[in-house]
Amino acid sequence: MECYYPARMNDAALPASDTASPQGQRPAPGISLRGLAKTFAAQTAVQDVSAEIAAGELTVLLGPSGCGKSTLLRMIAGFEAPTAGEIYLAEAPIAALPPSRRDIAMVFQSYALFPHLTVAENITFGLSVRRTGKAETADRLDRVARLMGLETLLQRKPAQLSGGQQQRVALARAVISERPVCLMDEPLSNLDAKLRAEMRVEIRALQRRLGLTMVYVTHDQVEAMTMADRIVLMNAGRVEQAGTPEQIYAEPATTFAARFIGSPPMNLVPAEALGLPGAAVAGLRPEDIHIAAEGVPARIVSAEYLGADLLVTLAIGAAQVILRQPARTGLPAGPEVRLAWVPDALRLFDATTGHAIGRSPAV
Amino acid sequence: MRREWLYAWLMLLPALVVLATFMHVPAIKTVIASFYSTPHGLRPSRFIGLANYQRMIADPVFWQAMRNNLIYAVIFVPLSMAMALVMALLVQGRIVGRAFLRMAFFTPTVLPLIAVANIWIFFYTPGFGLIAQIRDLFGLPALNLLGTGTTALYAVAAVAVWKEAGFFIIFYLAALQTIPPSLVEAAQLEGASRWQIFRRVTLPLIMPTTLFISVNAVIDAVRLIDHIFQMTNGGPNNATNLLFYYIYRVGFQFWDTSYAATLTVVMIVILSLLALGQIVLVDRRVHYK
Ligand SMILES: Nc1ncnc2c1ncn2[C@@H]1O[C@H](COP(=O)(O)OP(=O)(O)OP(=O)(O)O)[C@@H](O)[C@H]1O
Ligand SMILES: [Mg+2]
Repeated sequence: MECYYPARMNDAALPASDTASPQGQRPAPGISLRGLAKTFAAQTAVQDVSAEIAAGELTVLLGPSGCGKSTLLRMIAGFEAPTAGEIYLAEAPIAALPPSRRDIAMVFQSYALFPHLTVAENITFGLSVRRTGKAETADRLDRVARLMGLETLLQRKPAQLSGGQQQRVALARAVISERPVCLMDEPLSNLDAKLRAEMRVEIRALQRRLGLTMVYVTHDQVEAMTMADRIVLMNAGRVEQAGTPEQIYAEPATTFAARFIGSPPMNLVPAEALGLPGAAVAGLRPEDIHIAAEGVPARIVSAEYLGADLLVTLAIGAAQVILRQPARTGLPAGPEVRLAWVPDALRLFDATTGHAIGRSPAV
Repeated sequence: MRREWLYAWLMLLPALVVLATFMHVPAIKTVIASFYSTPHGLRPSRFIGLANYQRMIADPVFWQAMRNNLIYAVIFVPLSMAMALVMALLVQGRIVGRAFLRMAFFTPTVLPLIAVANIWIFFYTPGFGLIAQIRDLFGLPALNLLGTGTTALYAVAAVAVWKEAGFFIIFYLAALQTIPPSLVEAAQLEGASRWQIFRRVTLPLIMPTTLFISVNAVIDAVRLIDHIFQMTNGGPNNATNLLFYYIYRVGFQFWDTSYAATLTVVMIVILSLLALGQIVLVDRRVHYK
């Protein structure tokens, strides 16, 4: 079958006309969500969401299943009407506009390819609906097909394509519309792990190259960390924290953010277990703890070998922590050890609200 | 290997016996009967070759029934299918009173055609029927729809349409339900109008169902004659005499069983050719998932 070239989008061999894409002439607008809420008959899916999606950036909506990511995205696309709040596209309110008038492209989770149309017809569906001229359609199809590496597949039906190829067609359909904003709802969830990693790189390269404002929904933190300019972390219909991947990783605003990001996640233990004063919850990333000659006494429970790294589970009294260390460092002979940590890396959270102490709750 | 064959045949046997007894054997007997004369009292049945077929070609009532049936089908097939599709599209969306509408559309299907005929007789009756009263209200002249040669065929075709459209709705509703909403949303996002979405997404995707319904509708156009008994008895002057009704008359009122068998063979051949033609013709343009 076909091979996938993650680097294809950056291919220097492509003619210059490709690089000067029409998106370049039309600066991508930013999106601003203000107090958005959506209540279905029985339940509130999204409540009071305010967020800024910067122009030309890839913003990831991240959160566990059922937290309202899709609902939020569908409100931006115009398929759901917000119960409250307003959506601004380049400062213009759009919440009252139908989907087709918002100048927004979308890639659906199931790709939503028309099964009875060929790849070429699928990609040019929007152009033909909007009665774009034959010559221009052919020209744009040609350009997009080359960009996405679909030249040889144009006459096939979607059922004759692999998952990755279908994904590319769905992307091509969004790209050919030359709309500066592109929404994606878990576009990679139907692909296997290897293809997912490749498509991640491709989508990110495409977004950068065309200067798209992209809103990307996923519940996969790896996808979010590797692709995002900014992450909007959601939980139970609310924004938990918004910021760059580095900010969220280093300065989680809440215990939820601390546990959701990182694999294994941040260790959260009562502060007194680490010999610290107060009733707070202490948070430490596994890579920030190490076995030392002096420090808090702990007992090794188990160790998991990952090749380069070793994940060591330790008990500190009733609490458990996981530390990550280079595998070749090895473990001491006995189960009784002492733990130390990078002082800067210690984070404290309020034991009742879960908010970070000494920092503003949302960056 | 051989054992598997044996098992397969044993499994098929019960169904085969039933099918053979009630369908295949009678069908073959019908074909054979069409080459023999009808027994009369002391004169037994004898082989007469194609004489029955020659008689049929010379029979003006047969040709009238054929012509009537053609008109009947040309009205019934497209109209019942189009009405079913329109009504299915109406009740699939989120509209008030959806359950009520669905039930209302489906009710004619539950009723026997004989009962439907009685309802429509009430509509058609000159003088005090519903249509007569409405015409009266607007000062229009009285009209005997069933009793007039030029209108009777259309009047009975309308009854069949009313009855079967409700049945075809079910298939269209089921087909519409299999179309993922995201396809419609994707089309909406591209700025497709409702008509464009229907023409370019919905209609092609329900083509397999349309083919299935059209085959059924063509068969119905020949099969649905119950209301003729109730409403016109084939009259006035054979204006509503349809092929199947004519076969009944020849077979069970004139007891000319051989000639009835001949007409039956012709009817079945026509139906088979039509169904085959539809499937071959449309199959090329149908997208199956
Ligand atoms: N059309 C609807 N009617 C009623 N409730 C809905 C509807 N759509 C979503 N919900 C509810 O709203 C909540 C948020 O749903 P949403 O699809 O936005 O979650 P999500 O974050 O996209 O989850 P996932 O990662 O599983 O896709 C869920 O609890 C869901 O049950
Ligand atoms: Mg979702």
